[in-house]
Amino acid sequence: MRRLGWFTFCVVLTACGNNAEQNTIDKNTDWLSQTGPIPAFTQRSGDVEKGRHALLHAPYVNCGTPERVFRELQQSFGNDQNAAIAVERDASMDGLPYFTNRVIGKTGIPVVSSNCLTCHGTVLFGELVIGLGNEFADFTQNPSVAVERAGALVQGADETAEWERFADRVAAIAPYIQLKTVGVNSANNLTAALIAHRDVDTHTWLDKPQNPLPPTDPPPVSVPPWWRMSKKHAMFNLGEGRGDHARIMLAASMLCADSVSELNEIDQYAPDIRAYLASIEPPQYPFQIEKDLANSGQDVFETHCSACHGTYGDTPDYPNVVIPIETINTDARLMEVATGAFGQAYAQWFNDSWFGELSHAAPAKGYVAPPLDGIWATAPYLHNGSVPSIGLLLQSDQRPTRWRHLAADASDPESYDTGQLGWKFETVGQAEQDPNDTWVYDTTQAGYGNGGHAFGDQLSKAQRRALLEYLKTL
Amino acid sequence: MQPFKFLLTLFAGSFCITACDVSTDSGHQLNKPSLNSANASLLFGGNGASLMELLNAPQAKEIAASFPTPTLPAAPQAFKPEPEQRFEQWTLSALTQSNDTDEWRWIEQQFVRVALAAEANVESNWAFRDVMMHQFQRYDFQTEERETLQAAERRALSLSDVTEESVFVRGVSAQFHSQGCSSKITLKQPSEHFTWNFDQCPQRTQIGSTVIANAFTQFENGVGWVTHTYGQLPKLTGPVIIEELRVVMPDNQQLRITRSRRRSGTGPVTVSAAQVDEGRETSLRDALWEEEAQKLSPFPASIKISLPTLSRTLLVQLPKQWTTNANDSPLGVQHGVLVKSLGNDESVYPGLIRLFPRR
Repeated sequence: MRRLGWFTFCVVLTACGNNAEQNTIDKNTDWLSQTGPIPAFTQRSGDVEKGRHALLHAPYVNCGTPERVFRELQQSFGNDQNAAIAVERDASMDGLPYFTNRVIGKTGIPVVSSNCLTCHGTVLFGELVIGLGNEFADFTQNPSVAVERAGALVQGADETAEWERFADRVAAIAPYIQLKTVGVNSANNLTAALIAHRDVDTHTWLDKPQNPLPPTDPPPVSVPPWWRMSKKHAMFNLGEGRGDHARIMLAASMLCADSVSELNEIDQYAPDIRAYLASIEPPQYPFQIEKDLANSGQDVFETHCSACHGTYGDTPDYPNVVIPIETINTDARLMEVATGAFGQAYAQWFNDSWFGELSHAAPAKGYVAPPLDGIWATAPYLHNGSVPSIGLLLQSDQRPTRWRHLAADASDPESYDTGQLGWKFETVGQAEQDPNDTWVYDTTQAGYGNGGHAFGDQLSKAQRRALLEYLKTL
Repeated sequence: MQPFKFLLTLFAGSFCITACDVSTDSGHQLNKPSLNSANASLLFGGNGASLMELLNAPQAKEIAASFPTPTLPAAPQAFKPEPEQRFEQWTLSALTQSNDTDEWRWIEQQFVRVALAAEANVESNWAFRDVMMHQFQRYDFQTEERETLQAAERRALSLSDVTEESVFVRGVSAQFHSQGCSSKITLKQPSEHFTWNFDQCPQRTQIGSTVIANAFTQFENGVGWVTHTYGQLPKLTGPVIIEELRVVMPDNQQLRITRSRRRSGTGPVTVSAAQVDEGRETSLRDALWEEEAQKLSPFPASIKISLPTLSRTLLVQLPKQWTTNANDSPLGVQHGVLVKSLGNDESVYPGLIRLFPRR
């Protein structure tokens, strides 16, 4: 009965899901979206090659550590193996980690800033996969600690001015972006903290926040892969990123861009970056696939999953729906923060600002059922990364309460569990859990829950196995 | 070993409280203090009793009994204090031969004084207020025993100071009696007195802003030398000062606490802790100091250190003002710390962090 009800619901959503495509933002739109179908929006076109170049070179984050200081720190401490992986860039970037760009700061000296790959790039089995969310990034530490210490190496007025600008802003947002577990991301809180420090009209930085600050215990999110961008009508887990995606992406520039004119400069090439992101293809599953089993798994998928997650192959279709929280029943905290009083103030600022000219923040009380292209590579699962494998996603009563990855990164194929589709992990008992071990994912923490999405529970063991095999092909 | 190289080695070593990776010419490593020296390290800066006990231990008495006190008369100048210099160090060395066993013994006694320029214009609880730090360190090359005694405090508290006639740290002093190029330096400790007599003018070498003066003498059963090094501390021009504390625990692991603060007094004060075991470093938590609440955040002002032989909670107290006297503290041991810049080769500043063992 439960499955039948869900299936019927999904069919209805699918049938209603393909509204006429919009190309303008309706300023009268409510800040809160309804669950169900997400209308399409015409995206600005862009040049894919220019977009890739801009992503890896352009000053969309134009504050950071003075280059001389950064390179001195590199000499002292070195890059880790993954950070040093080669990526095709201009010579001025030689030796810099792939997740940083060398840009010219406001004083005219070069600074090294984080680029989008800090969160949206992963060295997978020895190769950099642009667009794959970094599920091993550590945001559990206070970023001010490292930035402040770098200040000891700063020399001269220009370096000091650049460093102070960067360090002051990091200090302002740091209390709101620290997570409990390595691997998850606090991007929602980061954006909210930046908004609190930005004037809605002029976009100047406000030392004293004039908008509500987010909770200091950020809801964790698993970073979605960029290759879904081409299919999705709205960005983010709650479908809150409506309208022009290129404009929304520039929220990443809010750390440093101090005026509307600066944002407009970045906006000139933002559609190129968006075009590049939309062109990215997911990595192919690198291990063996049992084709016959995968074929039977496709039947299982199209019977039980496609209504929400779409179909794949030669004629793919993706319904673009937000599933009500009462139905999906996964951890609600992210949604509650975004759709509560704080979320309203946040959305109001966004919609009244330069961003609202082309886009609209409108979270829904539910979660988007994402497209599943390259799903094998995006472990762990659910919006908060609370379930280590697809196998466990399909068996809700088997999910570990506390668990820890066995690997520290995604570089070793031996660390990948080809049976369950996810990174190998170990369960951690409550008694043995070290509260200081930030590698333990504790699903009893607020926002870190692993419940919900129990739709796989009623599948037979054989169906689950076939389904897993099929998912390898996406 | 060439005296000059030896001097540089000591100079480098003086900036470590307890366990630096300092090598001598022979490759002799000084980075593994014994249990005794570790205890001394842990207790240094307390009321001094522990160090006195150590010096009065049978081993120390044996040294005093078996090795003759140098007695050659001499008296060069230049071993007096240099009050205009922010950094100053005396190293008194004795290499003597036992009357009983013909065994040679090499002991270094070292005083270090670092004076901090007051940051009078900085309205911050973190500003330095004319803090001075003194350290006495004794190292026995044969037994690898190291004892360290430190005091970091404002001047005129009578725990440590430099005068025209002496430099002293708690119960240990070096007294100078100079006339022309001749000088007599007497090291006074509770269990023993050593006297060095020099009758030549010291040789001076200047490296950058640092002056090194040294002289050599002979005893009846050995040789002795003194080096006096002084200079200005290089100025840190960066907006942030890094401070670091290392404490050697009884099992030879180190607890390292690092603090950063902005010279301007604005911005965050960060604190982090790490456990270091034979070069392997395990980071503990990072925290920020909340001035208004007077506590570390996001975790409480407590860092628990569990070691195989020791389990205790160390509170990292970041006082509103620099603390004064170890004996003033009813809570426990006060540790003086050496504070150094990130680069470790640019500057050295003294500071103070109090560590309170759990009661």
